[in-house]
Amino acid sequence: MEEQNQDNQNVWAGPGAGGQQGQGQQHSGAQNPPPQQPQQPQQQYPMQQPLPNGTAVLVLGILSIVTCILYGIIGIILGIIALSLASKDQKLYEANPQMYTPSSFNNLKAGKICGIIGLILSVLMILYVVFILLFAFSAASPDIWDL
Amino acid sequence: MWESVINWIESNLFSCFFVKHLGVECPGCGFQRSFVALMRGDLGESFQLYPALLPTLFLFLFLILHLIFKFRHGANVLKYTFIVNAAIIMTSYIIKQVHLHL
Repeated sequence: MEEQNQDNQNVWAGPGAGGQQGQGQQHSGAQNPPPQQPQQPQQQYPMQQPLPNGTAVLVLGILSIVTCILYGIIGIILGIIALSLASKDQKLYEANPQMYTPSSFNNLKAGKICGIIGLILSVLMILYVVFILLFAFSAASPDIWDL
Repeated sequence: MWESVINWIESNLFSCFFVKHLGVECPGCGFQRSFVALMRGDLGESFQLYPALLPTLFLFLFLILHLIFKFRHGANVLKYTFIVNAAIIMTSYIIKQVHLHL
C-alpha cells in the first residue's frame, strides 16, 4: 500500500499541471481498488497456521510402538486413530498448502509413517498370539484337528 | 535413598499378561528389569536385558522436547529413531526366542 501511495504521489508531483493533477487523482481513484482485490485473499490468512492434528498424529504414531501391551490391541487402536487423523489432515493440506506451516506437515508425515509401522507390528503381534494359542491347543489335544 | 527407590521399583514391577497367560515372553519383556539395571548404572546388563531401552527412552524424551521446542528436523529424527527402534525391538525379540526355544 505504501509503495502504491508513493507511486501515486510521484504521478501527481511529476507533471505539475492542474489539469493533469485531476487526471492523476482520477487515475489513483481508478487504480487503487484493483491492487487491493488480490490482497484480500492473502489477508484472510495473515499467518500460516499449524495443521489441526499434526502434533496428535505424531504422538499417537510414536505411542503405537507399544505393540505388546494387551496383545497388540492398544497398538492397533492408536495406529488406526493416527492414520485416520493423518488422512483427514492430509486432505486439508492438499486443498490449501499455503495455509499451513511446513513443520506441522512434516510432523504429520513422520507420525503417519510411525503409525503405519506401529499398526503393522501390532497386527503381526495379534497374528502371533493367535498362532501361539493354536499351537498350545493343538499341543494340548492333538486330536482337535481330526474332527 | 536412591538405592531404596530402586529396590522399591524392583519389588513392584508390573507382571506381563503375555507371559502369565501364554507362557511366552512378549517383545516388551525385560524393559523394566533393564530400566532398573540402568538406574543402578549397569549399562551392560541393561543392554543385555533389553537392547532397545536406550533408543526407546531417547525416542520419548526427544518427542517431548520436539513438542516444546519444535526443532527444524525434529520430525525426521523422530521418524528414523522410530524405525531403528522398531527394528532393534523385533530383531532382539526374534534372537531371544530362537535362543530360548530352539
